[in-house]
Formats: sequence, structure tokens, C-alpha cells
Amino acid sequence: MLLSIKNIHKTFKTVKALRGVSLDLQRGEFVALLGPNGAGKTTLVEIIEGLQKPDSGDVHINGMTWKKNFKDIQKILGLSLQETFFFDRCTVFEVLRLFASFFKVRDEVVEKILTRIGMQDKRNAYSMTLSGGQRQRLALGIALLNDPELLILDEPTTGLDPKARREIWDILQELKDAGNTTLLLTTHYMEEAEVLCERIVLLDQGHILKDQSLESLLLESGHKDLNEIFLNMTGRRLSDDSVV
Amino acid sequence: MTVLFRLMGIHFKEIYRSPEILFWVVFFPSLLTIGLGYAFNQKNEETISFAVAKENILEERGFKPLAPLDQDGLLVERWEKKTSDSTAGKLRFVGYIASQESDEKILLKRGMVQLLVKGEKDFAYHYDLRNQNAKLAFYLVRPLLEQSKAEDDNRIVSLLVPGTRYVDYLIPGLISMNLMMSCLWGVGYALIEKRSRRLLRRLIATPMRKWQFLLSLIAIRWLFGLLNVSILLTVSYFVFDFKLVGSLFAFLLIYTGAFFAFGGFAILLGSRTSNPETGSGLINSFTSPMVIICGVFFSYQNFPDWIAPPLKFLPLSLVTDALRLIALEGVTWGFLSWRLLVLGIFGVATLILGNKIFKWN
Repeated sequence: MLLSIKNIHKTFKTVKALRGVSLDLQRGEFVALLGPNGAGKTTLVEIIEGLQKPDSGDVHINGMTWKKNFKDIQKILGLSLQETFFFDRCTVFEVLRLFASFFKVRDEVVEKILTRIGMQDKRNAYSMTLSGGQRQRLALGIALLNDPELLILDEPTTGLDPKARREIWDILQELKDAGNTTLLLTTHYMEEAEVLCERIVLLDQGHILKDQSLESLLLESGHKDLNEIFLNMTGRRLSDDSVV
Repeated sequence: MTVLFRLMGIHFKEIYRSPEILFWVVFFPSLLTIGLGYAFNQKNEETISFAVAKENILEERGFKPLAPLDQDGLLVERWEKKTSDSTAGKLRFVGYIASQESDEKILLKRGMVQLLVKGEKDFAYHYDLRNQNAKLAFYLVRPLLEQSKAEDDNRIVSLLVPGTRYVDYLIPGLISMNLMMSCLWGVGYALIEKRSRRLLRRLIATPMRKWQFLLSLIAIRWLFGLLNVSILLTVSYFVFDFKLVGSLFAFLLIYTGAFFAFGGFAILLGSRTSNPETGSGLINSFTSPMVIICGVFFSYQNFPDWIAPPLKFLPLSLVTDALRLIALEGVTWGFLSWRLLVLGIFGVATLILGNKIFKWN
């Protein structure tokens, strides 16, 4: 098991963001953490990423904990945060090269990543000139620099147009086909989860409502898509922007 | 070390690729020095203005008529006389004819004159006793109108000691002010801005060490600061004949000590907020009083006795005084070591506190 989360609780002042969340990820799985805005998705992934501490509960990544194995976990983890901006007047290549130096990765790898995220033609473009989709691809490229065993992407396509969203999906699909990476993806786009992930975790108000494969979820509920399942369970829609 | 140099390289590129930053960091301080230097430097010809009721006294004293002043509803005659001697230097007296009391008031309110001369033979001089310029005008105009020389004129000797001009006093002050501004805006504000764009959060999710990032920011500002100071000193040398009397090494040491202390303050001020407007207010609330009370433009010894002594321990005062001692008096270690020590304490204390409360997320 690559990731094991046990009974995570997290409260911000009066808001209970996570109420006893437990989740396990096997190697090679592509898992979507699906829920509306405010469900607790970002809090959960930031706890997994070591950016926040839970009030209680445990996180084990490849059998290691953040407290004891901080550096070792960082080496096997790739992540992309929501809405990140980079150094405005540095080029795509320079930004990738900087992050590569943190992981002691050579320039050849940077070149490969540039090709992988389809940004060879933008290698000398300042990051401030990139579109939202290109910036997300750069963020994804940074996440892939250290060839991570566990890749965590927090809403990587939110706010992107359908074409840009497809481009991100294509890169992730290639990763899935290669079979070396485990992916935990947060999204409130039902289609994204359906296209990329074989396992769906539905999160709402800090609770996991469902955690099973897409097929069994659809079969069991008798509904034709995740939005209907979520609507039936909570009375609310996953997203007001779920049409691709 | 690779990470540190890569980070420095990134910050360097961000600065030199931003023309506006280059202007503010490198060229603006030099322009400011030239502007202020000229504004406050001893002029070749000093103009002394005053108002009298009638022109006949001016004509008798050899004044020549100028074109009348017609401005915003005020129409007054003007007379001029130029003098030159070894005691007062070159002077240009301008007498305004204010035949009505309302004209006198307007001339005073508009700052055109600060001295009123009333009466035709027994003159009465009216001026604000707290106004140094008005007092100077009185001492210079009185002998001219009354055709007498001050009794002690023959004991006045023109003082031309290098390093005693106002511009000599001003340049080290401007350098220290630039150091402070460069650190607080270049490091403190940069941290706030990067936090607001979630870049800090992304960086700490990598194996990069936090100190590497902070050190790289300060180090690159230190390097740009060197360029800035070099330009400033060169401009000052060629434009104002300003010479560094003391040791360049001591100057560099204080410069580095200043960066350490102000770098600490920058990290402390930029440690929490992610709102650039709040950050800008915070930095301004630190820098603005410092510029006024730390002897950049005038000595803090002008403040009341009870407040002046503590002011010399403020970081900007320490740097300004030390740079002046080195630049103007050639003083070295004796008077500098305790200042370096206090700067070091400021640096360590602010770095510890800043690091403790620093918000990367």
C-alpha cells in the first residue's frame, strides 16, 4: 500500500473540515477525490502533502510519516497545488530547472519533461505570459520532475477551457498508461473523474460518502453519472460547471 | 550550494528583466541624490527677498527696477541689487514694494518674502523669530538699508573645510536610506507578494531548505545594493566632489551589517500577511518614521534632549552615523564596533522572531 490515511480530523476555528477520514491507495491506482467546493478535498490533500497538520489521525506514505521521514517522503511525492503562480519574469525552462535543482535532477530530465507536457515551444516564454492551461501544464511538469511514486493534483483543471482541460487529461492518461505512478486527483468535475480514474471517493462536508470503483458505483446506484449519484445522496450538485 | 545559486539566479533575472525595478533600485537613488544635492547644496548666489512700503529707499541704496510681478491677482513692483564680498559671498537682494497691507500678507503667505521692512528712516523689521531664513534675511538686509556694517564683520571668515557641506552630510544618509528601502521592499514585500501568489507554499513542498530561499533573496539584494552604492558614490564624486575619507573595507562591513539587520526586519515584517496592501502599509509604517527621525536629512540631535539619545540606537541611525563617520571623518573601528554589534543583535533578534512566526502556507 502506497498511501494510508487513518481517521483524520481537522477543524479551522468553528469549521470542521475533516471528520474522521480514512483512505488507502494501492500502487498504480488512479483515484479521484470528488466533492463540491468546501467538501474538504484541499484540506485532505494538503495534510497528505505535509503542508498542514491534522488535529488527529495518521498519514503513512510508503510506510513513512511526515514527522519521521520528511525528506524521504518529499523525494517520492509530486504535487500540484491549486492556482499556483511562478516567478513572473523567468522562462518555463528556468522555472523547471530551478525546481529540478531542489530534487537534484539533471537538465536532460528537464528537457524530457518539457516534451512530456508539450511546452517545448514555450521553453523561453516568461511564466507571466502563460495562459491558465499552460501554467497548469507547467505546474504538472514540476510535479513530475522527480518521477514521483505518488502524484497528488489539486483541481488541476479548474477554470480551464475544455481544450486546455483535455491537454492535461492527455498527459495524465499517458502517465496512467506507463503504469509507474499512483495518482490522487481532487476535482469537482465529474467528467474528469470518469475519464481518468478507476476509483472514485466522494467527499462531502468532511465525510467520505462513497469509495468504490466507477463501474460498481454506477451499477449499485442505478444512476447514469456521478452527478446524479451525488444529487441523490446529498440533494446538491457536485458542480455548477460540470459540463465539458 | 547549487540550490542557493539557482535561487539567486532566479531573483537576479526577475530584477534585471524588470525595467521598473532596475529604475527604482539603481537609477532613482542616484537621481534623488543629484536632485537633493543641488537643492540643498551651497549656491553660488543666494537670493534674499524682503518687502518695503516705498521704492525710494531702494533706489537710494542702488537697487535696479525689475519687471513687476503679476501673479494670481497680485501686482507688485520689484527691485534688485547684487552684492559680492568675502564675508557673505554672492548675494542677490530682491525688494518687493508692498504699498498696501494686503499685499504684504499675500507676499508672506506665498512664501515670496519672510521679512517686512516698515518705516521710512527708522526702520522696523517684522519677521517670524522662529524662522531661520527670516532671521538670516534680517541680518543681511539691515546693514544694506541702514548703510552700516556689522561690528564684527572683520571677524567673519569663510569656512571651506572639505566634508562640511550639506551635500556631504546628505549622501551617507541617502545611502543608508536606500539600504533600508532596498531590504524592506526587495525582501519583505517580495515575500508578501510571493505568499499572496501561493509560490512560497509551492516552494516549501519541495526539498528546498527555507533558509536557502530567504538567504538568496537577501544576498541578491546585497549584490544589487553594491551596484547601487557604487553608482551613488561615483555620481556623488563627479557631481559634488564627494570623497570617501575612510576605509572602503569599513564601509563595506557596515553596509553588510546594515543588510543583516534590515534583512531581519524585512523577514519579520513580511512574515505573516499575504495581502500586498497590508504589507505595503506595514513597510511604510516602519520606513517613514525612520527616515524622519534617524538623521537621514537632518541630525536627530535637533530633537528634544530626552528623545535624542535613544534615537541613535535605531537601526537606520546606527547605519547612517557609521557611514558618515567613515565617509566624512575616516573613523574606523573604535566607534564602529559597537554599532556593528547592535546591528548584529537587531539582525539575530528579528531573524529568530521572524522565523518563529513566519507563515509559508
